[in-house]
Amino acid sequence: MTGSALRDPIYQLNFVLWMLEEFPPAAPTRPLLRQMGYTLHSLGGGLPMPPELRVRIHEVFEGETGRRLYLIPWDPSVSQTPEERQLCQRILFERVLAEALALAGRACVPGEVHFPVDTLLDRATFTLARRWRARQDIKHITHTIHRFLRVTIERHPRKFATRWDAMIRTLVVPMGSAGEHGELLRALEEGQPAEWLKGRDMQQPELFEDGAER
Amino acid sequence: MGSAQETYLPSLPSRQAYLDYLDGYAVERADELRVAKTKRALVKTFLFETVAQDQEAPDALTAFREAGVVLDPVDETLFTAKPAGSREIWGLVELLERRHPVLYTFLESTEARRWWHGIIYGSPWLDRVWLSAPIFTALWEYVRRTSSPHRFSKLTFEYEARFEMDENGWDVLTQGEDGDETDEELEAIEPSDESDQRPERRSSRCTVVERVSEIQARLARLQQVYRPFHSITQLRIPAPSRGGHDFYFDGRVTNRSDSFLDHRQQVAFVLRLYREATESAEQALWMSAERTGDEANQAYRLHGAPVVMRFSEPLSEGVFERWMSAMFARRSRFRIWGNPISLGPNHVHVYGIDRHLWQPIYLEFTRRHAMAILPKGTCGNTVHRLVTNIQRFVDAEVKTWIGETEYSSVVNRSLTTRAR
Repeated sequence: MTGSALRDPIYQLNFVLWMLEEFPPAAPTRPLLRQMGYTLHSLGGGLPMPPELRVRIHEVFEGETGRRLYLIPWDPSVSQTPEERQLCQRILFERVLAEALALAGRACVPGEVHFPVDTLLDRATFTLARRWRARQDIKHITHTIHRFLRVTIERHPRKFATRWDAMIRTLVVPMGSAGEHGELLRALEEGQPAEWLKGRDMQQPELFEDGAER
Repeated sequence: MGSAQETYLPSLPSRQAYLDYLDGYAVERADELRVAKTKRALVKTFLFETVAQDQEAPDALTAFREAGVVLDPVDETLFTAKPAGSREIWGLVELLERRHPVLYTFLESTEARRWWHGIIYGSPWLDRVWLSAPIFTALWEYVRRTSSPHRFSKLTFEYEARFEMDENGWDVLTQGEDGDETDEELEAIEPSDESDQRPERRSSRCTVVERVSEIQARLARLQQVYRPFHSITQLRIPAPSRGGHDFYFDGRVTNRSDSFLDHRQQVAFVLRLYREATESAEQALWMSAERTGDEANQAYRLHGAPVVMRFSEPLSEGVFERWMSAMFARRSRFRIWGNPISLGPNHVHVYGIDRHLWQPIYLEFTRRHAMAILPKGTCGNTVHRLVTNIQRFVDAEVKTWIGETEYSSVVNRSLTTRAR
């Protein structure tokens, strides 16, 4: 693990959450924080890491186990290094894609699959996106989610025709048959958030972003 | 397949008439089994998970209908079942246990399994019941306590080091090889010597038919000296008079007793145990954020715990790499989709989805452990499936925890509740 990861606030926040988690006695990671008597009841965007805990991080994450799964994937109001931000944004989009697959996998055929972008972001963040400070950030991120899903679906050889319903902020994909349903699932399964995010930074809105939705 | 009379069910007016018919059929087959191998099919039961806790899920009957099964009611909880387009009754569906319907049929084995596969793959709301080794261990304890020591039971142990190289050091795993059972596999479960071209690597399949007292005296010692004996994949629960009920890891049950009513009772018992274990696990695992405090001072608390599966010894680098490269393939037996995020050698994160029930699951893998987070709503059945497959193909002695509690304790607690 690099030194920059240890200093990353989102990483630290996840570390604290894991330390408060219940673990078996023989598990690879033990709840040191809980043993030390810490209790946390709220989550802050710029959570400062107490100096004594930095030592604990080194102790716990020595060896192969490395960083844990992220419970909180990202928070746009938190300042991160470009590398950490890239990782966290990828995690967020992997989770969004999984939620989109959940909707598509259970859709009725024939019919329409609806991808409401606010719901996808909510589910991918355990609803904590509602707590993000900057509402503008949310708008920008859901816009990026919409574009990511649309490009992922439309680039499939089946050439799905998608529709953006601005009233309910939902991407709609009509499906005529079970075959099309299978192709839609395949299109989403082939989605690569890491590729999509290359060269993009969600903290910097793109030019004419509002007008780009259709 | 046998003649229609032997294979299909007649149309009968009531539940009692069907139960009498199946009971009489069981007696005939048991009599035949005493003198020779019966040429007619035994009653087979298939256990389903319906994801009934999901608010978006349709009821079990709708799920079956979506999967192409035509159901006609006999009463409120019993239905005749046939595939769309068929005039014959292929089986009976009973809502035997909340969230766990069952299908009874005496179609020939391959035909029955093909139909069952078709139903499961035809609906995102239906899955098999997955009986993992800790569940079988708890059931074996139940057999030991409730059966006479001189009765016979049957245990099958199965383990294949699927992600190891073969004896020549060749990497022989292909994407297709790790897939679900194909039609060919269903046709030929035991390949002939000539046709068996499978790669040579560590693999054990062993069935023990023995008196209950003998198995009990030796099982722990066998498990101590040879790890694959931890991976139980089949168990016979002896019937009160003769024969028994063979439970398989993937939710199949065969009635080899002379009583259908006893068969149904044992199936209901196992399903209640399974449901309680699954629901206990879900209660502990489901990860969610809950808002606390008032508008001015609001905060969120995260609830939930991970599933931790710790391997009995670290996997070799080669096994770990091959497992990770095969695990998320389209036809992988684990049926999980995800883009693996490599965080260095021997450390992978996946924010993926259960490709069968279409529910999110977050996973971490290292050479020492696998860990899973289930967002609220993801079915606990996914955990049983994961444990069953890891035990069969990665580490027969894998130990699992649900939060702070050992998975086997969760199962045992459910069994104790049931036994009261």
